[in-house]
Amino acid sequence: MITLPHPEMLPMKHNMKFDPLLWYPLALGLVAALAVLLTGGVDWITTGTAVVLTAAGTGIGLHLAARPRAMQQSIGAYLASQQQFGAQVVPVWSGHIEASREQMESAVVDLSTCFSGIVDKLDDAVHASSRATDTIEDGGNSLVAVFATSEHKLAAVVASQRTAVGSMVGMLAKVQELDRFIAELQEMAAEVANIAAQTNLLALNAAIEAARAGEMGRGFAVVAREFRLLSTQSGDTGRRMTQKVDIISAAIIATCHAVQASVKQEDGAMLVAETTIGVVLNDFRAITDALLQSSTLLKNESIGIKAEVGAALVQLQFQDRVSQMMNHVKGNIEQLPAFLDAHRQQCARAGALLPLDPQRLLNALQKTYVMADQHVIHGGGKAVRNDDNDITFF
Amino acid sequence: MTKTIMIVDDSISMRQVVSIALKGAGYTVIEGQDGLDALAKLTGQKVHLIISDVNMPNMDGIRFASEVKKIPAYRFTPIMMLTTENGDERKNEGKSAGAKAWMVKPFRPEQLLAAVQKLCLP
Repeated sequence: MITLPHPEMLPMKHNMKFDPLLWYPLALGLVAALAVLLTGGVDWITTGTAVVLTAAGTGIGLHLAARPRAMQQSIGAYLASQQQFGAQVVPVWSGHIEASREQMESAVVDLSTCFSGIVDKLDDAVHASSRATDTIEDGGNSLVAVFATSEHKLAAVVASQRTAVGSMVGMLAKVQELDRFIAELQEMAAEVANIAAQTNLLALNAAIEAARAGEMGRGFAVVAREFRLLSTQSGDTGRRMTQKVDIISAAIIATCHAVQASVKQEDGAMLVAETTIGVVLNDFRAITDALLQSSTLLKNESIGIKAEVGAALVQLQFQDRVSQMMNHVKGNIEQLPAFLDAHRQQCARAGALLPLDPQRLLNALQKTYVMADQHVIHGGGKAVRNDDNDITFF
Repeated sequence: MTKTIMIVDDSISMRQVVSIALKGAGYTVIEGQDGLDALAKLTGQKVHLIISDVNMPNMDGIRFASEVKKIPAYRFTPIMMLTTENGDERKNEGKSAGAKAWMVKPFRPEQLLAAVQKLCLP
């Protein structure tokens, strides 16, 4: 708070020097009184006249001197009020500017903190998306790798199944080849039966001939009987062979039918398995592709938003510049009371109302400028936005 | 290894703006709110670049640069002044104090990063 001296404490120059308006009438009255006394002699009439003349001169002088003094006092009061005006208005202006600057600074700091938080969160989102993409796309444990491994393993299972079916088909062919041997065996059994029948017939003829030979043929009859017995046994063996071959043949045919049915069934099952595996893998691929696409989109969007928020944040740099400009103007405004006081003192010293020259105040303001824009504005120009950085390397 | 950059500015928003631009490019950031605070935070760790404002309370950027150059561990650490001031006289003061570059605010992130890349210690 600036304490102003009372206007009377800073008297105008008029008060300090000879005032002719006061002294000339007084001197004239004294001279006239003296002349009356000198010419008329000293008696009560001339003395009275001299006193009246002196009093009249003094009264006229005082009357004439009082008018400029009143004017002088009003000018002093005006200058003092001008200073008081500055002293009262400037703190209010200054307070408003400072409050605005502080509010702007506080708001911009809050805003930049929020933006900063958003950028950090987006950064986390980008990293998470990258990790998710990596989980889907890259590395031995990624979904794509797991998918490829699974596909490979399932293909191996299908191939193994196909090999098994192939083996069954091979086995069927082998078994079917046995059928040829069965026919041969059946022929062989028939031949054995035939040989046995012919042998039996021969043995019968031999027995007849031995009987016809009598005693001489007894031994031969024994051989013929034994021979006939052998032929009977051979015939039985042939029949049993035929029966067994028939059984084996039937078993082989049944086995072949069973294997054929099994191969057919396996073929169908394998086809179904292959189709199902294909569908499942395609579904899985579609899901992983969608997941990958979604993750990549999220990552790219996050990066885009982060860049835009970063760009918006950069625009908040205006606060630093505006704050400095407001500080400079505020500081200059605060000099106004002292400036007006100095002007008042100048007027007092000069004994006249001097013009209020703003140059000193403007010069003081100009000295505080740090930005090119400020000089442009000071010169009456308009600050032009310049997006090209001014950078100097030393 | 990520490079470390110290930002010295009395404006919180400016520190945040610069910090975000640098962190986005993969740099690690240390912040100082004025020259005095920044000097206290230079405790021997490797700093690849210092970016300082000029007009700050307690210790301005020009004196801060001079003081940094007196610390053996940071004698060769490049300093870039980032300020609204663009007068040649102040730039010369910065150069005399040991600054390697003088960038006028407001900056564009890509230009800041280009300058940072050029000035950073290997």
